[in-house]
Amino acid sequence: MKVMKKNVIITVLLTCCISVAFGQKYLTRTGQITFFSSTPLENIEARNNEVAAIVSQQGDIVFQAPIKSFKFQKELMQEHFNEEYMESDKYPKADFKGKIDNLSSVNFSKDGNYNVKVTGKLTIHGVTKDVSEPGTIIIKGNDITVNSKFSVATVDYNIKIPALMAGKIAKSIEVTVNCILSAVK
Amino acid sequence: MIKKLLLFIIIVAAVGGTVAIYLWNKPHKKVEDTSAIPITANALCKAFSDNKTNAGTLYLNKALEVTGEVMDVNTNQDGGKMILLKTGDPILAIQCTCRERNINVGKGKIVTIKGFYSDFSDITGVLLTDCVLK
Repeated sequence: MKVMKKNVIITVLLTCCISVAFGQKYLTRTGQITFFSSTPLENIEARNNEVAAIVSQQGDIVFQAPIKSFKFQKELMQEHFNEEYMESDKYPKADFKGKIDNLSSVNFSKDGNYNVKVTGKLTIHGVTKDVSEPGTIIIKGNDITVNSKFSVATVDYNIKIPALMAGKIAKSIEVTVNCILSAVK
Repeated sequence: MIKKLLLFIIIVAAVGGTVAIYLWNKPHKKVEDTSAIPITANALCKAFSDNKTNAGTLYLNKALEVTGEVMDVNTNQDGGKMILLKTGDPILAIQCTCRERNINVGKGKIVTIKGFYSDFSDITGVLLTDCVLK
């Protein structure tokens, strides 16, 4: 019991130290990422409302998307996505860790829309790539909204699409990030 | 002979078509139809704190029935409800995204939630998806 209390105190102290070191942080457990695949044969869309994200005023950005939480209209699509393409048992999450390049153009204490460029490492299907994508940060009171839209080539992340399905799944998937984060008190 | 062959082809096509239609329209899995592992929120969190790899393997593709105290109820960006259960850990919680939107549960209440294990996050804790309140 004493050891557990000690661990809790250490964790709280560590959290406080991290907050001081990284300034104000914003967090969400319910961020949203959608993806869209468009081919002449079929459009496929999936949505994930369980994305965890942290943004610090020092410009650090972390996103974690649990793969099994992407929801499809059809169960069959969801099964194929998890079992055959993303192998979610083996690679349960996709994540991004990076920084805002033009941090000086964002004023976290003033409401407004700020265009940003974010650079970092995107890991999908166990493959990590350096990426740099544009986005916007909307600041409104204690909340910030991070928006970005970019494309992911399946071949870059070693996602194999069977020849039979090649005409139904786009080689480049459109990913839309829309996460509302609240200031951590 | 030709008649028999035609009949055979028609039967195979009909069976194949029926199977294809069934698979295409197969309903999403419901957690109510799945047997679940009963566990407390504290014990589940401790399992991941002690060894997240072992716990992740143990609960992979399993349904869990987690009992704990409601820490908070959030609404996600699609209007769905996400219930957080206390775990005794200051940072990590059990995060349960509910299938139904009309959930009425208050902070501090002891509840049992059944859902599919989705993932563990160092940021937020244990994620359960497609959950229902018991």
